[in-house]
Amino acid sequence: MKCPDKELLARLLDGEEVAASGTLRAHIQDCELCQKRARDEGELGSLIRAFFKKTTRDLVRDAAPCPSPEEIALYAEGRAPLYRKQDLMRHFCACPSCARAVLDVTASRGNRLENPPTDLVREAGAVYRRGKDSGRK
Amino acid sequence: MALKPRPSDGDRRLITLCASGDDEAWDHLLKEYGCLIYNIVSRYGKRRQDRNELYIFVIENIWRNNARKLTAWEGRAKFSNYLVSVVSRLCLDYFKGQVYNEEKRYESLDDVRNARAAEQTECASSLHPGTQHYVIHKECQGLIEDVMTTLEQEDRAILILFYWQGMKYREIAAVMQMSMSDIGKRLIHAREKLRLSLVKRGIKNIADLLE
Repeated sequence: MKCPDKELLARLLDGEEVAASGTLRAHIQDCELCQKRARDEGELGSLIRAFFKKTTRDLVRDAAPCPSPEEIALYAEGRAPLYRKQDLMRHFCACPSCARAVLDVTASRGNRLENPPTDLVREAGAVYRRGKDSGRK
Repeated sequence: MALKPRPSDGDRRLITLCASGDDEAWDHLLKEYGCLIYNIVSRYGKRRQDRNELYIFVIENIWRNNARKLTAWEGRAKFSNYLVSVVSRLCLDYFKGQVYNEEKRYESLDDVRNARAAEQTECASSLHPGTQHYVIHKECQGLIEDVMTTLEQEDRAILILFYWQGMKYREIAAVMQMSMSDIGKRLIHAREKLRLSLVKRGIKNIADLLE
């Protein structure tokens, strides 16, 4: 089997889904050149990971406050103002929570939705009524 | 001439009624958006019991303070997307506040991140056993910082999302608003650039920088 190209090897090493990955892995185990490439990528990956582990604390500390849910939604829709895009992108790198919120908005678009269980819907309705009855707002 | 109502007008009216304490409006809100909320919550709760608890937690918090989390919607983003963003935040708040028992794997988002990073390392190390968790030699930290500054901001962001937050290509693409193939190419490009920068600075063997 021919050695995989740079892009294919990178996808495989990055844990992405790749067609015929079983065959590719078997080839890599047997091929000295591919082994060397995998080793080099592994070492570089370890270096990058170690670097970020040490320095991202500063990134998080210096990050701007979290944007509002509306700004996150606008960004996910691709409609954040241009002057804010870079700042938001920098923030998402430093803030896994906000990055996760962007992912949730993106992933929820066009997905088939599962209905919540009926008893849960009933309980959710009761939450509001209970609070109202007790005068809590 | 009467203006056609914008789609957001209906949502605005519904929110106003909810905030004023209208029972029917709340029932309608749950009917319209309950599925969406449940589906977001399902991503965070592994077991049915967790999902149900989380769902009620989210509803309680949305209702609290005269539906303040709803009335804060300014109408710039689509309401459903805004609501997802609110629910996501609430789920993460719940997640951070919980102490997990043995059945749940993670105690914090740091654990999720570390687990993802470990998965990536495991994947790479299944192809080359030499890949492990390393620490950079103190004296080399400055060198690596210099090298990192040669990268474009977006490439650096992609590296952070991949190596620190442990995101997959698809997730990085969503956060960076690029295509998956762009992400793959940029990762390759960023790594090549880093490698060349290191070679220019006399580092031929990356393993020498690590302990």
